[in-house]
Amino acid sequence: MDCNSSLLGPALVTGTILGFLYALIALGYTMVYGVLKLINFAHDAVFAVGAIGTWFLFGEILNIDEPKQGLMLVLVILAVLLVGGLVSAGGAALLERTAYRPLRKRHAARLSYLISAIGASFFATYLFQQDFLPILLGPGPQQFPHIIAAGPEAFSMNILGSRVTTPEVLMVVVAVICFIVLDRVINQTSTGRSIRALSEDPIAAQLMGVNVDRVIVVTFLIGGFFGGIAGAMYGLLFGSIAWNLGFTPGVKAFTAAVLGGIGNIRGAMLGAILLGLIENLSTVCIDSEWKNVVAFTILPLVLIFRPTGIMGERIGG
Amino acid sequence: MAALMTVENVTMEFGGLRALADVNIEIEEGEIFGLIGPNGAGKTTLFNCITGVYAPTSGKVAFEGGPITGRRPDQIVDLGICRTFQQIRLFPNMTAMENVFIGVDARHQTSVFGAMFRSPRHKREENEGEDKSLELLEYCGIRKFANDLAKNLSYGDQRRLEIARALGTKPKLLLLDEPAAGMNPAEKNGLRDLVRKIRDSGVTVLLIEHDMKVVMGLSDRVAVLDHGERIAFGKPEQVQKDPKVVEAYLGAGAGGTAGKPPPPGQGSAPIPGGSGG
Amino acid sequence: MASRAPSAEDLRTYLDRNYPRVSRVLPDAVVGPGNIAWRGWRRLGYFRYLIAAALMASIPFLMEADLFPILQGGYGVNVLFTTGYWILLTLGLGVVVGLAGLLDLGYVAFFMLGAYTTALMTDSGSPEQWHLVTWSPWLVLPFAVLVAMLAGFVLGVPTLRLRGDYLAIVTLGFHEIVRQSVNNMEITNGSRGIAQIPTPVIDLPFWKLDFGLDAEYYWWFLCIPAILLAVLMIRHLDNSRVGRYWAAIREDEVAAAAMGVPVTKMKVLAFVIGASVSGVAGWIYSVKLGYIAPNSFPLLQSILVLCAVVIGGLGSIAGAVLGAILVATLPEVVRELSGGEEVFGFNIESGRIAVFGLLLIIVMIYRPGGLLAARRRRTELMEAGAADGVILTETPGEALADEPSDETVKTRDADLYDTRKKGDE
Repeated sequence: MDCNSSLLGPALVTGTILGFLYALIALGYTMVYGVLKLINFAHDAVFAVGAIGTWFLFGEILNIDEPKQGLMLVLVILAVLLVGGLVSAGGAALLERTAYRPLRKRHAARLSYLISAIGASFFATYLFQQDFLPILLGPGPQQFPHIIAAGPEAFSMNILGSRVTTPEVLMVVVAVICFIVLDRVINQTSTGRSIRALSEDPIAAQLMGVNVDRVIVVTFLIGGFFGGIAGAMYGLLFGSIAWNLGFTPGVKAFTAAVLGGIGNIRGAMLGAILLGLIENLSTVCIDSEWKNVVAFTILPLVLIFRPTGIMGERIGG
Repeated sequence: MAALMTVENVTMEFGGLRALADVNIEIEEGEIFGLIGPNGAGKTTLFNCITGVYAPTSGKVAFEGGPITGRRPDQIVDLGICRTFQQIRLFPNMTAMENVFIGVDARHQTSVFGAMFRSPRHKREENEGEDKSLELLEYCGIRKFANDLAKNLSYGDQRRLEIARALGTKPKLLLLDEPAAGMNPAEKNGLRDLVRKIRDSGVTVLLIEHDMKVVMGLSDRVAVLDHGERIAFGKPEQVQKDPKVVEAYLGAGAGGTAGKPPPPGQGSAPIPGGSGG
Repeated sequence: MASRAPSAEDLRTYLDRNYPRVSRVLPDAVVGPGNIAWRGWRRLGYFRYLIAAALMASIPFLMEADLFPILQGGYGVNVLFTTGYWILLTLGLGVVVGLAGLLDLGYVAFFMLGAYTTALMTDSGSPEQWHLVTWSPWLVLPFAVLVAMLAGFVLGVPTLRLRGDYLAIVTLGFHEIVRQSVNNMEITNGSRGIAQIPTPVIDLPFWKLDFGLDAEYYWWFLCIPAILLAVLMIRHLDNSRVGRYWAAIREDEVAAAAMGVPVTKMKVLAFVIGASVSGVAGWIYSVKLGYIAPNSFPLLQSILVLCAVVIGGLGSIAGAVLGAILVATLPEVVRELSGGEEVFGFNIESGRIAVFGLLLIIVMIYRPGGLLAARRRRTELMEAGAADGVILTETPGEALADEPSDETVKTRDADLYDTRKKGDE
């Protein structure tokens, strides 16, 4: 452990930004867990489908390849995020319909859901790797449309000795907005009330007239929507996407959700930023190659020593 | 009479809510001890504290003189305490015989290697276990269902199967959690005979029961829990007359029914011997 | 499951118990003669394993004689070997998932540890390559098994108390931890891997055999005893106290504990036994290929083994074997039949994962136990507890261990009672 202190600032900044990305994905894990008490193993594919959907629409169909300026930039970014969100929401709803609902109707054992979700995840991921349809990514990485100007002359600001670019600022802003919106939805709308009721006491909620099927679909839709926004943001942040883009962020977001207390929305946010920081500080203090090992080791440690996470498991937070 | 099990000042809290508050109980060898109280009194919680499902927040449970608090459920079974469940928890997709076999297995010694290499002990125990399981089914009157899946048995037979399974572990103390729940009067009668038969074979019984006829007719001594506190204790006749018990059961303003005659035990002979069992 | 004297059971009862639908279709005219053969087969006892060995040993010769229309020659024998170590993997994971009901997504990590132990304890790689010792491969075999078992123990003890879905993701993480550690460490030669792992040599006065020099099919012969031993071990365990305990844990963990089943111990045992089988597989794999690298053990291999176990049939040995054949052999057959790398646009190597992923969903929905499930496993997965009004049936165990439903209600009510009491006074 000898930390190179000059890299500490940039590590903190990168860690926070990645943390916000994980947070958006973690919302999906935590929402579904809150209601179904089940880890949605296929959420990584839901996240990926958002990135792929935006790539296909804006890059392949609309052929946008020039950085936009001013109002146009704002509009295009909003469109990209919206499309990503909608595609993933659709994907999540489809997932619920095909891989979850038939099992739910049959009162299947817990193991069945996990296996079915893993099947869905691997089906989608390796389907993206094929190339018999233009929407599939194929085995290599693909350029994500360059909507935001990049390069040395583009806008950037200096925080703690680190150059922060427009997509990175955008990442934080978008995540914070999403979080505030979701918090409002969960705590102040009737849909949110149904979701909370179902997560607290499914039997009582049903007796009170909560439509379980509807609420579950809505939960998947909301989680998928934020996952899709995260997917689009991933494309904007890293500039290219590959068929297996979902896996690593997926596992990390899941870890983050558990770290903060799975089922708890505020916890997911907190856990994600914490995980981003820990992971990136470890690259400074240990070695960048061990970054993933550190992230993967945190999960069992949290589960063994504090299985309910930092903030407990209540969805309302 | 030596105390088989003592529960000393056991308190159990769930997130600040007290399910049990300083409960003291002493169970003597060879008796049928009744534990009653209204819903939510903490009876099942006490069972869970005794059998190791929960570790009590404070207090001590001792069995045959040694402390057992904080031990795992399987270790407690090894010591000679076994239970049934209020909501039946059989292994639904196993046959009745296999259910009992699981209980019988608790007293078996075959190691993993013994099982892997079919040691003589493994073979002996498999044969004995099968006989023993069938015997226990016979003992509980459900021998004819030996090869039926547990989930296909009737409610009353499932309750009996739970008892047979628990007896398989050769308990010194048997904990029955509302064994008569959901039974019709005829089944209840049969159950009473079974519980007595078990006690007479030398097994001490701790019984939670809602049905006053069953519990008063069977028990040598009774303790009453309410809101996690022991509010009364003694012979069934005394306890029944205790005003606190009447109030706990019937609520305020029910004083008029306090004189409700003690249930006559449905034709069974008065329990001989009292606490001496 | 519970052992009965073999004579007590005839084919019809056996079919009724395990495959009721098949039994209904088959007329007595078929079952009757079948019964004689079936009983005779059961009477054979351990001789059955010898017969199975002989049958398995004959496969490469049948292949050489071109009796199979496909998979001919050396290629076919190679596929046979691949299927061999896959069968070991599915048998081992079958114990964990099928018998103990634990979802392990990082099973191949144990396989990898077995392979790397072999590489590090034999005279492999360049002279500068770091070695623990340089022993003969035979001597290393027990250590490969031991290391895998130890890893199963070390991973199992803290994590097997966790809920099923947490266990799944922790084991998945474990796979990545092991793989990336090996990738980053110098002693394992990092991502370059270790080459020139020596082949086992039998050097007896009357018999000399170098697996590296002699015919390819000797590698398959190396798999046969390992597979049969694993089958024997698993069958015996399943039909014993241990198997009953596993079944009890699957059905109701809390009730099992209350009947004296040492739940965590039995789960760790399943992990360790599963790991031991994959340790053997790892040894066979490394000495056969002579070269291993972290990339030989991708995460998706763990998933593929799971696919094989689930699709083949949970809790059944025949299912595990069938699953291995489906997942390891079928793509090769398809590759040969199609004559290319793609079928309907699916790349065979990567596309099969998509296909098997889809199959997992289909199997879980329509045939939860897999193609050849143990009947009990099937009913368990079909009706986990059809309590009305519960969205997702929790394992009853969790309901009681986490938050006892009725007790919680009661404790919540405690406040009400208190106010009532005060009012009365």
